[in-house]
Amino acid sequence: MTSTAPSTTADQLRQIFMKGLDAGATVRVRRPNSLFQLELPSYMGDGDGAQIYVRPRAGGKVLVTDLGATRMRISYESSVTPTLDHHLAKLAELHGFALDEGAFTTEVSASDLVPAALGLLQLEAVAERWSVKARVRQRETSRFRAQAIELLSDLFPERVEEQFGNPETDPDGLYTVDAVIHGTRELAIALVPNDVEGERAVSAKLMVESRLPQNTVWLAIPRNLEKLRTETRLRLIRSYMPLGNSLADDHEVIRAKLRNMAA
Amino acid sequence: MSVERQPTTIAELIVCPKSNDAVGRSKHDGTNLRLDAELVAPLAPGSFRIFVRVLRDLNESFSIGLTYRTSPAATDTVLLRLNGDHGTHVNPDRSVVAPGPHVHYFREPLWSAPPRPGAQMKWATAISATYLSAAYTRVVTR
Repeated sequence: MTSTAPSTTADQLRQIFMKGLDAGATVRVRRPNSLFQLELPSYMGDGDGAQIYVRPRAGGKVLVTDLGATRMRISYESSVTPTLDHHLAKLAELHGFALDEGAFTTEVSASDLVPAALGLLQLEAVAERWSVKARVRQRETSRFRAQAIELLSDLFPERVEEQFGNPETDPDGLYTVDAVIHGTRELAIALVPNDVEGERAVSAKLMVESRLPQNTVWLAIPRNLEKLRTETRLRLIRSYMPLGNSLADDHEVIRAKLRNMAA
Repeated sequence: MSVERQPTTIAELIVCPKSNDAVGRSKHDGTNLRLDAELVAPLAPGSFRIFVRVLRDLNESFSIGLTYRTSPAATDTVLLRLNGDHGTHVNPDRSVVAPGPHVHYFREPLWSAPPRPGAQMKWATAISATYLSAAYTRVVTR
């Protein structure tokens, strides 16, 4: 068997690369003298081009920004919340950008335009990927909640009060227990799909326990107890009795325990 | 095309009769102008929403879309989306839509199938929509 050595040299590769970049990259004037769009042959999952805009600044600097297009794209299917902005700001910081009124921005010397533009391109891709994963998590959380509420409503028709809170101390209803089953002995139930909700459940108990009798039983239905962070799991267990490790795996066990406790 | 029975496919959901009881209010949110309005569609089991987004500093770059949610516990799926001029678009078959207004839509076989979240990331394609978008541009940027 004979083999031939690769014939493409580094110089040839460089020429191909630069020619391709030259052909694929364009600069469009969007507002004369004040706003330019840099188009690169780079596209998001739905085919839309990466959004890279440049504003000239004094002293030979340029502002490189997406004008808020990334956050706008995410908002098609997701709510714009402080949590979303918090995550976008963290991602921006990792890439040398800031989140300014919803736009990714960084100011650099004009000579650093290329690395800044490529950094923004990478940031947009990461943010988009993060938002897709967040939507999947949101969908799983919603499904878990719906299944748990369905179980409770099926077991205790007319006795389930959802989002039991304390309007006096928490008028915005930020810290509520997911469900209270009314009866001779009240059951306060926290639905725990993830760490954040686990921590919220612990705080919610402190907020609402004064509104419930002392013999109330505090129960937790976790989506997956083992997947919670150790600290959160321990805090949760100190405040609530988990009815099982996972609603999906222990559905019948949880159903039986609830029925016995409410009897 | 008239749909009297319960719509299930993306094509049927897009054309089924809808109305909105209350006009949504637009909201300035940093660099975006946002408007969302729930639509009522008696024939459909889920819920519809129309959204409008406009970039404050580049108002010809806007997005108008129709979303559908199969149940309260589900997440939205964008059924159809009209974009203004935000640059070049490339389709899954590598065909390129030149910079300018364009419509994102599903191709077959998904066009004739029920919506599933995330599908548009892989299957949306776009066509130039100069006339339609010009009308929207006048409305949105007025």
